Amino acid sequence: MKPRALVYGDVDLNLIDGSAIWVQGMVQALARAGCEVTLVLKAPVRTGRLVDPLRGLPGVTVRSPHAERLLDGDAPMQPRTAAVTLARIDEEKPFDLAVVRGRRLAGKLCHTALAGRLWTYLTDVPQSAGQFDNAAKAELRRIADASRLLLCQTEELRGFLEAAVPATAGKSVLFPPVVVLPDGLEPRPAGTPDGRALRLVYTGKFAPRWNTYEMCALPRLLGQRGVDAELHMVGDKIHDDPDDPGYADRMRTALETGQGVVWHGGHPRAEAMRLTAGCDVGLSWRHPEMDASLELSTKLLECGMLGVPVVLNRTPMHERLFGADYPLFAASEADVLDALTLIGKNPEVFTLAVDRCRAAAADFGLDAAAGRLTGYLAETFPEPVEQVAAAAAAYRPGARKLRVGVAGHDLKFFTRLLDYLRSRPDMEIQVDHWAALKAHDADRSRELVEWADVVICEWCGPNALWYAKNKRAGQRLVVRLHRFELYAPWPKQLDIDAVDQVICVSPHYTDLTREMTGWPAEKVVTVPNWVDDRQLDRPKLAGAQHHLGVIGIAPSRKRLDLAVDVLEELRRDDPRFTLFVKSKLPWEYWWIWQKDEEREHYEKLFRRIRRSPLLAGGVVFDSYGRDVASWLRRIGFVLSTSDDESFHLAPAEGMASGAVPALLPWPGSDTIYDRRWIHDDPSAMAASIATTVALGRWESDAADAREQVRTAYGLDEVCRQWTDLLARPPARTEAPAAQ
Amino acid sequence: MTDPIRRGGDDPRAAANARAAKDGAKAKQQAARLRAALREREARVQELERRLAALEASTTVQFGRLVAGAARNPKRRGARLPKELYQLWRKRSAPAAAPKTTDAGKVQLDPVTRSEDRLLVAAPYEGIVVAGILGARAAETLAAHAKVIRLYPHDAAIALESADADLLVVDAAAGAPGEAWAYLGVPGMYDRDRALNDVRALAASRDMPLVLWNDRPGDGAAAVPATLANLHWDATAAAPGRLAELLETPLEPAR
Repeated sequence: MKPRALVYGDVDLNLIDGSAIWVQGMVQALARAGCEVTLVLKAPVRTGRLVDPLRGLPGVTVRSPHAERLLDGDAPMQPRTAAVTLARIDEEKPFDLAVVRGRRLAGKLCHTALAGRLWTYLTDVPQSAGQFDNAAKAELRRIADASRLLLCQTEELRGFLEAAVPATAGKSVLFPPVVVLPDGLEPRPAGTPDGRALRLVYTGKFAPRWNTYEMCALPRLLGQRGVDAELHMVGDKIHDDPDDPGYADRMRTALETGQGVVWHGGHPRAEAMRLTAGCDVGLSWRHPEMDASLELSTKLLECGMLGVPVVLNRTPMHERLFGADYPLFAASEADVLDALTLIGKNPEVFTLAVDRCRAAAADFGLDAAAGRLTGYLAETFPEPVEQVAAAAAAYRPGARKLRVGVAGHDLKFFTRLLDYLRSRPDMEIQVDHWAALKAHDADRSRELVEWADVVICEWCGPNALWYAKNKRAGQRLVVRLHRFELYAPWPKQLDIDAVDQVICVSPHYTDLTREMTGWPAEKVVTVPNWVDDRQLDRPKLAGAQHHLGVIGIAPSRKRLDLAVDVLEELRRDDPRFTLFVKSKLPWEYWWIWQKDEEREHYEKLFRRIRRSPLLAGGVVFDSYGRDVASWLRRIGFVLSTSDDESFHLAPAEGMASGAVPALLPWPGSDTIYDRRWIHDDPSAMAASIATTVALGRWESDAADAREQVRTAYGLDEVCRQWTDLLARPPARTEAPAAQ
Repeated sequence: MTDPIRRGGDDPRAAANARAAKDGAKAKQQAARLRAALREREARVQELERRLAALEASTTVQFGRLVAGAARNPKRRGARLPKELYQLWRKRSAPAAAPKTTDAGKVQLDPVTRSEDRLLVAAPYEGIVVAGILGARAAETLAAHAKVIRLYPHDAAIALESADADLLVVDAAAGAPGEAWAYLGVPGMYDRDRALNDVRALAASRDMPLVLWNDRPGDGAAAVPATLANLHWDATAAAPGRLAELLETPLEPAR
């Protein structure tokens, strides 16, 4: 079954601008990714230039609420009207997903039945902390809660959102601009502009921050350097600047009379791109104020696809795209002249720049966009498997969906898996959320017993005892046991005969559980913790190899002091090594802070960090939050120095992010992680880190680590194991005698 | 991109932002006063609860309750009265459990409630005191000419709140990798951006000059990271001597 996708852009498709092009690209990419797409138009069709090609695509339906008389009048839909109309269209035959663009519109859709199915492409997001007020955060939180996915244009925007609005973390995925060349448009012929003037081109509006006035002087200044050049300017919108009333006149004069300037006036997008393809170098040199933008200019990518290299500002985002050594980065007019002189006189530099731009743009074509969407669709709508349906039928003849109940007081370690189970078309999920470890609504629990084929107890606590006592005959009961319960009284009280499977997260804890409880070995199995490898896979920031990371520092058995020992040794030789801690502070956990020995430990440790000249400023306590994936972009090594852990997710998350793990040998660590990453003591760990960086091995080690974690603990693999486990045939165990 | 802490000059937006920053500081002070008042009320409530518990446990009150209860319902409760009075008499000298205190042993001082309270703290020093978000090089340079209070991402607001500083200096190179403020100035780093925004607001509320330190001006505009370049600074400095000049120059009246 093809997923049915609704697309609405809050964009008038009669006007060809960036947002209209986005809608066109999104519809095409969704159709190519295998969706049945319904595009709803904001305004009545006056020109079919953009809409007609979409109507012709297989699997695409275009609906105009105005033409269908769903609305009175001809006015384009405002967000509020659009939200009502979209909900009405959805009611006819519900969609699987609704891709919408625009913050205001998404804000209105949060309150409709489409909530939960929204794939929201956010625009108009505040771009600095100072602009991010509480109202904006609250609105974005509502949007995030109502969205299945948030599509972010850039990695920068994604990280910023996740840190500012925690609800967006885990749902934010990349969806960069899609560049589609108009039909029949040929890219620039290969080769350097030998024997003729170097043709520079700019398309777009003329405004101070786009440096268009300064650009007009370039042919003259290049002439003074012996480079023959002409500048082709395409566009007719001259900005009226209230701060500089004379700007528009000056700009127009420069366009009309500038030496070597050819002003083509305004042209449709296809013609502007044809003119661009006829030139040699695109100009995207802007005022430095624009370097802080979290968005990516589509024009850069269009130029790249046309084989026209671009002069642009050096920003971290552009460096990642074009390479730090790209020859056409410029900040000032002198830089621009230097760059243009360089490529005007050196054909090999010109060729290098063309290749870089073309390679950068390749990832923004329609195929790349469809590939991304295919991945997101596969993740959101997993394929049904016969084994699950067979299990459902074995419980209830004729049934196709397996009923899985989940019971527990704290589902924080289960949330991602719960999302996955809920997304499966062959399963139905109900949750019995216990109010506290020992407190529950017995009626609700009894209902779950009546309803479910399989019950999963998250934590082997009073919930597991209750379900073991009250489950139905033949109902499967699966208990997930963590480190915390193993040393508590509940496992000893559990009627293991009523339990079909006990799940531990590591082989070490599986062995310990068998040993301490005496339960039959075959009932206790290992299904590892999962790592959301796709969410964590993000590009590292420059210099990350000198940054150590620790996630979670309380209670004291996490042994931050040992991580500090490692740092101290490293900083003796290289003060660039810095330890970043992402955690709540120990005094934020009252049950930890009330223990004298815990307080003593931390008071001593924090004093050491404060007073040591080597450590002060070398340990940074970043705020606790769900934005771990974007935080890990800064981290080169993730440390695990605990006395004891059942799995310790942090090194695995670090590995998935492209960091190198470094562990001390806590019991069982070698059953989860490769011995290569486990060091005897802090000194050995420090020596290994220093060597890895000094020998330039950091990137290759990180790549090995990432591969290991994907294979063993990647979300797909662990979800597969859980699906297998839940789809086993009904239990042969008898109903408990106490029932 | 607008800078909410921008002040000075003829720009009406900047003046509005300056007013907003000051209003924010006032609101913060008001909140501190309210918190202090709330703490005082809580202390009184606790004291009253303690007294009430003692009163309720007293034999006198319990005697009164028993007698009053018997008077209201002589048939049922009147019959039980002699036995209950006898039990009360027996227990009159038995030790009663003291009410549990939640913060046993904790020293509770009057908390600092107003930022102006920092004016009371002695910190003798003759010379310039700089509170700074600094990279290692700038910190070393400045330390030779001034007393430097280094601010870190996790303590910046706390340290500045109590610091007796003349200027807030932000080093353009503070966000270099390997520094505590790594990635300050890189677009998209919300936590660093917010920490900087908070200390700038705090400094603005105290009329402390905001100085951008750029000791590599020869490198051109690129030396100043994008998000720092977009903010308003009262001055830019490349040498320690400039800081002394700044302190002698009154700030623009719009501040």
